[in-house]
Amino acid sequence: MKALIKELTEAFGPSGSEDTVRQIIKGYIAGHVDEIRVDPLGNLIALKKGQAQSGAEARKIMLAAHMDEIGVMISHVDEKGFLRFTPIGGVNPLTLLGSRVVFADGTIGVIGREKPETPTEFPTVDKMFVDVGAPDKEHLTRKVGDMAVFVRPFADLGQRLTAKAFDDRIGCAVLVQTARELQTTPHNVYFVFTVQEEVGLRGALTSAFGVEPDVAIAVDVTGTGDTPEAHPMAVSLGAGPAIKVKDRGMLAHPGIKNWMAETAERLGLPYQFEVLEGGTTDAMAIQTSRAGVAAGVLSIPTRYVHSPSEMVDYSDVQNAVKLLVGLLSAPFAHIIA
Amino acid sequence: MDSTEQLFKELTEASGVPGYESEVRTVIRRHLEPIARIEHDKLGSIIGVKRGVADSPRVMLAGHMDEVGFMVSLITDDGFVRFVSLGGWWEQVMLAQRVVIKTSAGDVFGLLGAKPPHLLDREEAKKPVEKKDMYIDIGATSADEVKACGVRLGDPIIPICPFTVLSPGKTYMAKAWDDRLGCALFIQALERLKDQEHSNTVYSVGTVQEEVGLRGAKTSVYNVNPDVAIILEVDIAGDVPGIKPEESAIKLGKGPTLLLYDARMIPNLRLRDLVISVAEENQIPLQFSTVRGGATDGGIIHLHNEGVPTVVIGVPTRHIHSHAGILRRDDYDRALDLLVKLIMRLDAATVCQFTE
Repeated sequence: MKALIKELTEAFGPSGSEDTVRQIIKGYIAGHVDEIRVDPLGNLIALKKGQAQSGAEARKIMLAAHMDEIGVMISHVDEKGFLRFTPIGGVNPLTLLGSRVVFADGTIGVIGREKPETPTEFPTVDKMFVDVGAPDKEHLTRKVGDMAVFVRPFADLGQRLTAKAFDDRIGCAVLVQTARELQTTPHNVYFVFTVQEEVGLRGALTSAFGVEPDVAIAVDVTGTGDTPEAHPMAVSLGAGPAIKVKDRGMLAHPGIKNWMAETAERLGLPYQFEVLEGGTTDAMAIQTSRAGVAAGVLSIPTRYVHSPSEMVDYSDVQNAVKLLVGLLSAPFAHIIA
Repeated sequence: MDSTEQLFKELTEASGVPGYESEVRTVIRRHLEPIARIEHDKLGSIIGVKRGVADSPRVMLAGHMDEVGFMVSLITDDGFVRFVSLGGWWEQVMLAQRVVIKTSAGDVFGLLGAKPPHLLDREEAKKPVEKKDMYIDIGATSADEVKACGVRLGDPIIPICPFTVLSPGKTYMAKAWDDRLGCALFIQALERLKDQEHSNTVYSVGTVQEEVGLRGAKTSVYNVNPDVAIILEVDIAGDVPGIKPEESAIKLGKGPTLLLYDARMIPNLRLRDLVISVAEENQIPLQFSTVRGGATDGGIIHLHNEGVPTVVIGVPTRHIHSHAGILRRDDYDRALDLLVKLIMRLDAATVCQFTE
C-alpha cells in the first residue's frame, strides 16, 4: 500500500485540476468495482454492487475522500517575470516561505517575499511571489490562471510516513485499498473521490446529489494533540483511526459513530474518538444533501496538516482499511434509531 | 443614441434593488418577448427560452437584475429616514449622494445627509461615518410629514444617476452596470441568434437577489437545469490611480475578461479553454482575472445537482458598487461577439467533452 500512497501524494492535483489523481485512482480500482463514472464537476464515482443476503436490508453507502490538495494560482505577471498568486484553499503563508512549487507541466518555482518592514513581520501572501527563474517576461511560459502545488517527495520513516497532500490522498488511498480488499458486501457501495473540497466542499455537494446515499462516511485527515506544546486534542498518531464526533461544520450521526466504534470493538481494532475544533470535511455537505443523509467521518490522525510535510502513522492507515472492510462486509441492523 | 445605447439607458435607469426587481423585469420582458418564450421562477427571475436546432444542450446565460441600494428601516421623530443596505456599500462613497425612495404614492427624492465641514472638529473630520449613523433627508421636519409623502418601512431606496454618454459611441457612465450590462448581453445575444442555426437551446436568465447572496441563481438554475452555464458580469477595472497591477491588472478598452478564480467558483477548465480559443480564433482580445474578494451567480449555478460546467465572462467596469460606474462600448461589443461565437460552438458533442 505504500507504493500507492507514494504515487497518490506525489501527484499534482490542486482544487479544480484533479485529472492526474483521477487517472491514477481509476487504474488501481479498475476490475475491483462494477461501474465507474465521472460527474460533471469531475467527481469519480465507483460502484461495487452488493450480493443480496436473505433477511438483511441492502443500503446505499457512500464513502468519500477528496482528490484535491491546497495550492496557489497565478493572479498577475509583472514585467520582470515574477508571478503574484492567490491561495487555493487554506494555505498558511509561513509554510510558503522557502518552499518550491511545481506546475502541472513540471515547471518548478520558488517562493520569494518583498522585504519585511520589521524583522519579525508575519508574511502575507500578497507580499510574496513565485520565481520560476525566467530572465524576463518574454521568456516566461507561465500565465495567469496556472496552478501550482508544493514540491515534496514522499518519505517512508518506518512506522510513520511524511508527504505533502496526505490531506486527502491518504483518504483516497484508504478507499482504493478498501475497494481492492472488500470481497463481498450486502450493500451497494459507492467509492466517491471528490473534487474541490479545499475551496468549500463543492464536489461533495454534487456527488451526494447524484449518488443519493442512505449512509455516508467521509475519510479525511484530522489534527492531533501529541506534539510539543500542541493545542489540546485527544487524538494521537498510532492510537488507531479516529471516529469523528464533531468538527466545526458537523455533528456526526450518532448511529454511524456507534456503528464504527462497535465494529472496531468486534474486530479488536484500535480507535479513538475525535472532537475537532477547527476545520470540516465533505461529510458536512453530504449530510445536508437532498432530504438529509446519515453521515459520519473516519479520520486519519495527521500532524502538520496543510503544510508541505504532513505526517501519519502507517498502522492507523492499515487499521482504517480493516475497519472499513469490516463495516462493509456485514449487514447492519439499525443505524437510524 | 443607437439601439445598444437605448437599451443601456432603459436597463440602467430602471429601479431594482434586491427583492424589488419588477421594473427591470418589465424592461427585459419587453425585449425578449418577440424572440423568446418567457418563463419565470417563483422568486422573480425571468427566463427567455430560444430554441436553436436542438433541445439540448441547455445553455444558461445568467445576469442579475438587482443593483446595490437601500431599504427604509425607520422614520425618526424629527423626520429623517434610516435605512439598511441591500448589497455591499463602502461608507466613503455614500455621503451627500442623491437617492430616490420608491413609495406606493410615487417617487420621493432625498439626500444621504452629511455634517457640514464648519461643524466638524479635526478628529471627527478624519473618521469615516458609519452606515448606522447615516440618514436620508427628504426635507421633512417630522415623522408625520415623511409618512404623508407616502414613505413606509420596507420601501426600496435607489441611487440616482441618469445614463450619461461621456463620449458618443465610446464611454458611458451609469448606475447599476452591475449587472444590467449582463442583462443587456443576454438580450442582445438572443437578438443576434434570431436567424442563426445554433445547435442548442439558450436560456437567458435575469436572476434576482444576487447582491444579497446569489439567491435567484439557486431557484432559476433549478428551473433551467442547464448542461452548461455562462455568467455575464461586470469585472473590476484596476486602471485607476491607487490600484496596484497585482491587485487588478484589468484595464478598460482591452477587451472582455474571463474569470479564472473567484471566492465561490473555479471554472470548468475545458470550457474555460474553449472560451480562450474562440477569442483567439476571432481575434477578440481577452483579459484574465482572479478575484479573491467576490463571487458571482456562478458560485451557486456550477454546483446545481451533479454540477454544471460554468464560466464567467466580464466587462471591465470602474467604480462598481457606488452611484456611478464607467465602462467602454468596445469592451461590451467584444464581449457580445465572444458570447455569440461561443454559443454557436456549444453543440452536444462539445458540451459532453467538458465533463468526460
